Amino acid sequence: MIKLSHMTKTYGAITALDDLSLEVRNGECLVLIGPSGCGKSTLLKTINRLVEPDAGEITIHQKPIHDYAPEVLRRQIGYCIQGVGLFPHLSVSDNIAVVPRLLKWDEPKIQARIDELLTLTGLPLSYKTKRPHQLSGGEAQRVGVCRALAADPEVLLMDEPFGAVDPMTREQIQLAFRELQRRLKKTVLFVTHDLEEAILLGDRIALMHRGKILELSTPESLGQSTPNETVNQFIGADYALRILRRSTLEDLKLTAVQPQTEDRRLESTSSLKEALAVLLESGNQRVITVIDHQAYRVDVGDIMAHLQAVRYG
Amino acid sequence: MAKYIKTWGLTLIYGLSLVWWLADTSRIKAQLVEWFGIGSPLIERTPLSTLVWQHITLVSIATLAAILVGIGLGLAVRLSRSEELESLVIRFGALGETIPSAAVIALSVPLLGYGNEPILLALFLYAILPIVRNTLSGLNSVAPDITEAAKGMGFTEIQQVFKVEFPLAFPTLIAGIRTALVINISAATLGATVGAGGLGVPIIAGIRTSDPVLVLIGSVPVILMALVADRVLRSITPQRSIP
Repeated sequence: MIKLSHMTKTYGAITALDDLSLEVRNGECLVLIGPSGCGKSTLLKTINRLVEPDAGEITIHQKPIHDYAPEVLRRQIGYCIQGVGLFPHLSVSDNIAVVPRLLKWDEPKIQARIDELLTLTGLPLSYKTKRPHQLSGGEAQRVGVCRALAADPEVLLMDEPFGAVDPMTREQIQLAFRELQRRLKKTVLFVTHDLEEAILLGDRIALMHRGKILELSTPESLGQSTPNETVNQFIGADYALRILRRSTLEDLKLTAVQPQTEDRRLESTSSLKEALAVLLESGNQRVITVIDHQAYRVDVGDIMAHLQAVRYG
Repeated sequence: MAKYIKTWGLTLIYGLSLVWWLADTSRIKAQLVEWFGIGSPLIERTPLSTLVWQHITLVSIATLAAILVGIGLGLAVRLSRSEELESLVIRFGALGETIPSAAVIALSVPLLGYGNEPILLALFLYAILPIVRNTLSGLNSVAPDITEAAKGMGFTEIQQVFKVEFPLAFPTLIAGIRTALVINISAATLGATVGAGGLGVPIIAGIRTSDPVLVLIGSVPVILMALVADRVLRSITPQRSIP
């Protein structure tokens, strides 16, 4: 658990952090989102001490981070940044091995870890000898994730890690990261300005504005607790549509039917957003999905009921 | 392959020309005397190959010392993380570069006496600036996301400079060494005016006696050596596409 208490930081007249407190729970991905200049990156960098706050305290697992030398602290925390920052003079495997080598692991263990991470992020092992400039943006980003995970840190700090890749690749890598996080259950603090990304990846979302957290909640209930003009403006009137991306047809309560040949079929892993789009254009055609060999009818009403349940409880 | 032939082929041609010039000096000289119609076909006391060897020794000692001091100074300035110190060093170096090398030599004679020492000092001082400047600009040109990643991964300040910034600055650094070396190979001829050896000996003697053949005999090897040095250093510079 990362606990930040009463964090304050000013740059001249600008207040980047304004007496801000926040807890990141073990195993959750907490997404910090806000307009640029709201202080989200500053907050993230106070945790690995790239930024020293004017006031406030941070503990990781009840231990104050100032108990460690900055380098020692940083080696225990995975760090992933926008633009990746892979070292251009090192091969992919040497890039991944950076922190394990700083921690003086033995070489066979490092090599085994490199293979494991490449497999985990879906990169071929033949990439080990490649140089960063030979990789595509998405591949480099995956290597960046491998490097952050290399020493198996419990805590992962991600500063707009997928901001610099094209939209197609970004979605792929977001989904891959979500899968990875479901398996690894790291304690992640993820900074982004992309609401879609926050909704897709966050277990909870903290909305930041002018150095303060305006609201902290699950993506489903964001904007529900206290009516706030800034929050509403930020999440937009179409927010309900956006959170449909978080659930799949398997999350719905559906009615079993007999399948017919003219039915339009959807994968059960389709997101509700995709399902809704298909329903909107299907006209009178029936839309079904098959879960465990049983066909179910998908209806707009089912999606509405699900949305009501998750958003308004 | 074509690139390979271009770099090493040219180096080979320059190198072989130099060997031919040294091995066949007397015949070349006689031929030149015939073409120019002036000059003496007599052989000097010191064979040309000895002069070349002296020249190489002078340049190597001065440049090597400058490389060590220059890189050390560059890294020290970088580790201090002080921008004022950095601009001070660069400005001071640029100022030093404006003093003509002949003046450095003349001024150091009263201190160091005649011989090799004044020219060694002048060459050393002249080589330091391009090396320090390129070391610093190479270190500074490392992209900020890379230095931030290095810091965030948990490199110490010293590890960051030596394991990340210095290797990335290496191509720029080699370019500085190349500049310094090429300048020094030609500037070393001035040493002959204060009693140092090297290829300046026939050149200065040729100028004094208005003998173009003697000047050519000394200057052609200087040019060939500078070309070889330039080619070799260019070809060992790591080629890396900038991301």
